Amino acid sequence: MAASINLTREGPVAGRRHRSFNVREHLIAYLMVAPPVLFLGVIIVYPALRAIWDTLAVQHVVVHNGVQSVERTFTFDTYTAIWNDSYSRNSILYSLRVTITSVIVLFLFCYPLAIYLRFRHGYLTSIFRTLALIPLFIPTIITAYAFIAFYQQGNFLDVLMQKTGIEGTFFGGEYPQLIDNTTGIVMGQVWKNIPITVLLIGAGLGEIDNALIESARDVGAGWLRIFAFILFPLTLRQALIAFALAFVGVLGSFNIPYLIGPNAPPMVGVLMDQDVNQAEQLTAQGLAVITFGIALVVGVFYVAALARQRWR
Amino acid sequence: MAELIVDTRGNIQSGPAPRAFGARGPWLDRLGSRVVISILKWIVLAAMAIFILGPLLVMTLWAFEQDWTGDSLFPTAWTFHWWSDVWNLTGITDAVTLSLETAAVVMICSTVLCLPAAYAFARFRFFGRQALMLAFLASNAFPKFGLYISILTLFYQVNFMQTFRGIVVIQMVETLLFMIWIPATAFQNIDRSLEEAALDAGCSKFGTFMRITLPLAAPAIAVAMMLAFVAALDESQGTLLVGLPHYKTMPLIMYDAVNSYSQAEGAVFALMLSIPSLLLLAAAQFLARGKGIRILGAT
Repeated sequence: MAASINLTREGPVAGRRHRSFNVREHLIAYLMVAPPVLFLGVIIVYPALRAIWDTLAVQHVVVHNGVQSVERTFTFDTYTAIWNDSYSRNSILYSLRVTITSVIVLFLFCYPLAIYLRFRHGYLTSIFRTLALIPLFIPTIITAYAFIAFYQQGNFLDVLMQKTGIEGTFFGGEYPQLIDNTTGIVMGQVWKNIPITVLLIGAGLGEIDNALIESARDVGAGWLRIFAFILFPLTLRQALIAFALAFVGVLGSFNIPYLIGPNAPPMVGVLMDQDVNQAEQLTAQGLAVITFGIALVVGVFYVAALARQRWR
Repeated sequence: MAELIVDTRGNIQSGPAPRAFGARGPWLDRLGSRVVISILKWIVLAAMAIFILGPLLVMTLWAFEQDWTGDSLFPTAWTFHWWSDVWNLTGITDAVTLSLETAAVVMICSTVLCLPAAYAFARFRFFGRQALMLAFLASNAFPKFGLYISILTLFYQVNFMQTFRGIVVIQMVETLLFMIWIPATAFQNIDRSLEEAALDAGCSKFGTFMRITLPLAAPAIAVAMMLAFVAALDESQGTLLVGLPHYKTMPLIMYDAVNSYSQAEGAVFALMLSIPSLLLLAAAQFLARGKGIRILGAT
């Protein structure tokens, strides 16, 4: 696969030099690259493969002629048990729903913002450029706490809506609870993912020539048409990367659903934590593998989009 | 700007489209819609600003409130006493010390582990280079919490649970990517002619690296190290699984804060936890400015 991807951009200098297979250089390079590659292999790849193996080839103790031994049998029991349990099935389906919703809302929020930042200049834009980066610097656990301070019943927004009479006019005098439910997770995830999404889409928009937009406007294209036929297609690669990162980020999240999500159904991250605490290690592993599987579908887009990137 | 309009008889006219509202002239109509759009734009921008900043600002107010009853929008009296209160809560100083220790160790380990690799990725063309770089980027596309859960099995096996080394390793997971990426970009961007000049002047290869290459890449390496420090300082989810109940870093105290601290104390602690990140990241931004360092490599 690697051979079919063209990742290299040979500069004029590189073109002159004849590259032969240099054994010594290869050896040194491999030695230098080895430590993080080993880390990647041992701490990320091995546990992931091990989780797949352990959940499919389940270990159990067999007593044979009075001698205890551990055997593995191939079975889908771990997964059928997860799927047949309505609590964990609902949790998986709920996680998918929340993840998709969050990503959609995120893009509805970030595309206009990124376009605004790209095509307007001035004081206000520079303020918003900084604002859009702030969530990057705030740990998720603090995000959750800040959301509680702002959105929880009896807190700031509630008081503000009472004072301005919005609650009385539109919500029958009752505060529409915005956190400790799905809305809370979606808002938290959107908040957390704004910087990376805006940065990625912004990088894509930055590569678009102004003349292209102007010529489209000159022949009478409106903003919607410009977006659909110029901006969106030309930022598709970055948007795919942003989409995959956000999707996987939400799916693999714990803090936000744990602290400002609903009690039931829990998102799959919270469910895994519950299983670990109840010593249901195998079930937790099975759930982890399921999230890997879902992420793999999205990860294909991510890797494909990255592979198309040209880097030196 | 002229618009081209094809009317029902197929004639091409130029000029604005005829509006449906007969009574209002196009001039007034256009002014009206412009005002409406402008107002809408301001509402949307204000809503965005409040969405991003509102929660943080209110949390900051919490940390200084002396008296804040349910029916007033802002605190009616202010105080600093929550800050000294928080320092006197049990376990806080331990958590701060532990957090700084782990973050420093993670930063150093991650640098030692990744820096040679960053150099190799930047300077050597070896078989499998692109595939390995892609592999590191792809590791970013693992759902984090699922990954931590699967790491637990390994950690139980090698006795890393509830140990300092376990926390360090789990916190290093997040630092790996940019610890390779940022220095690699810097090594790549160094003008080779400077190194060649040093070599021509009789400097050894190692001397050239120490005197030319490393100093030129230093700002980027510093930025990457700061980011690693902050990432380790802020990491809560993996540490929660590996460290509790024995090891409590600052973010883990936040879980307690949400449930059992007073609002103000929780807010103080949250601010205390975000201040080092904000400072270090501001410093990182400052170092990165004008040096062409991309903090986010994968753009």
